[in-house]
Amino acid sequence: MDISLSFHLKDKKMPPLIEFQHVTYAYSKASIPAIKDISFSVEKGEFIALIGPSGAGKSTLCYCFNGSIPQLFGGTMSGNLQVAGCDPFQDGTPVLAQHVGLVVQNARTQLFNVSVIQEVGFGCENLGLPREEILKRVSGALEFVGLTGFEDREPGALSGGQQQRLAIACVLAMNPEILVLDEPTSELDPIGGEQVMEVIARLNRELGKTIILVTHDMDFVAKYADRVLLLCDGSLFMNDVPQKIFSNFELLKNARIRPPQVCEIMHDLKENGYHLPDFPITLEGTLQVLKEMQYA
Amino acid sequence: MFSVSLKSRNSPLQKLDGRTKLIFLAVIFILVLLFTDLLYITALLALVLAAWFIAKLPTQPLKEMLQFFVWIAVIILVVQVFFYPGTTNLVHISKPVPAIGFSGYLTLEGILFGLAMVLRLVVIMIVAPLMVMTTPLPELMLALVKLKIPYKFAFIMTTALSLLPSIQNRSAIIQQAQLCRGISYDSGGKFITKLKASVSLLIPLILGAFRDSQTLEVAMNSRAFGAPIKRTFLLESRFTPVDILVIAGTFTLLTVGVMLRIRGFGVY
Repeated sequence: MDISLSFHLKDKKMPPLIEFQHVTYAYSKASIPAIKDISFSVEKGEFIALIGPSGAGKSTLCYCFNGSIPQLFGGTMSGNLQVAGCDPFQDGTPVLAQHVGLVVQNARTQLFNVSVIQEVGFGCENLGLPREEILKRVSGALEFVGLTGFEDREPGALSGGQQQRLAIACVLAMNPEILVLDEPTSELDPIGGEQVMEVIARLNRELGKTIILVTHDMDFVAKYADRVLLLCDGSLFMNDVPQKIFSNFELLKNARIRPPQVCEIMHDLKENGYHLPDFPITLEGTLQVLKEMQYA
Repeated sequence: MFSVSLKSRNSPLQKLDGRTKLIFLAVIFILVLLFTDLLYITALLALVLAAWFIAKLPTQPLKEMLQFFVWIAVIILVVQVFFYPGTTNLVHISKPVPAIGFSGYLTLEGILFGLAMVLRLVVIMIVAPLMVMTTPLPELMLALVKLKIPYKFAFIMTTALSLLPSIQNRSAIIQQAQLCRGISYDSGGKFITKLKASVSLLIPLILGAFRDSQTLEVAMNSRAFGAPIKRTFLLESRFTPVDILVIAGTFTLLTVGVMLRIRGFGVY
């Protein structure tokens, strides 16, 4: 696996890796679409956070990236969609799997093999890779997510955090350009969640993977995301850098999103008449601002 | 409920190639269906039990399977004992009832045939778990594929087996949740109460399994399941001299069995 050889690419001259143009999708028998007129593009190597309240259509959007929608779920879909040069309307999910790795919310239900090594190797076997290459990739992926030594363990016997990291390793071993992660920490304890988030950040930073992350962890979004897509009631409410999103309290209130804690503190300071040289959204930025204001 | 997960590690049977064990399984199935003589079926049962002990498998699943089977065995035995058209009358029961084939006597042949049928089912019931308990599922799948069983079929079969423990766990969780809300699974309850309780267990269990199966389908497809590429396997499968020996022995057994059957041995 060329994990060690990968590097971070953010070449804006390249055509977008993902492009949605007026995509609307309704599940079969649903009276209203789950996502409506969604348009955005993603460049190679970007870290995109997909946020929004429950029922906003975030998971539905995730399933569009690898063609699960509409190929597995049925329903009606319109608009244009390009993912890594493939057309999810035409190309099957197994074909798209070579470009897009999808990690769904519940880790337990996506693990179905009897050992960790079999679980991680499953995708590579389906791609018809030689055995030696599979072993190399499995070893590289497990090392990356911190599960070296777990090869013979039963996936079901791992902790929630380990299972989620294993699910990431399973798609990572296939070496896709894009990783889509649907609320990977929603069922984890804080430490397990932190470990998973750390792996996701490294996937982008060290391997240059394009990340689409659905999360409610706004502190993480503020710290790592290049751009935020804010979904609300199936529509794309806003598409901007985290700083712009998290400093717009009116917008967040309307979208029923709680901003990072530091943003709330900064907002309160501002409301109480304090002059802030900047509006930081991360803890590090806040400390810097407070230093400048001579409070720290 | 007994579990059919891998229980034998580092036993001579576990070390055999999956194909060898599948061939053994198929031959035992054929032979047990060829014969109806109690002696022959007992010999096959002895062979399967010997394999069980060579595999160093625990006896607990065996006991659990037999406990589960006991009532079915009683029914089979009663039906065969009374309705098998034997010639050696032992006990007079009632007047003959020709409409249902009852001679009015309990016959020696009926008893022997009934016992043979029960033992035939015991052999079938033991030999399949023997295979699963001595073969890791990935090896079983590879063996099926090497024996030209379509990959998707082999995958479905082995995945279903691998998901059994998680279905059992889910069932336990639902039962606990329902017990907390006053649904009783008490074995002392009336039949109707038990039936109602099992319905309230089965519905969430089945619905949950359906929901999970959709996630599983998404997860499998996300890992290129069904990609139009010739699949490779992480595991390697090779016949050892012991495998060759066991396969030769198994085919010899099959040949001898078929020859005996053709010559009229092993049947009443």
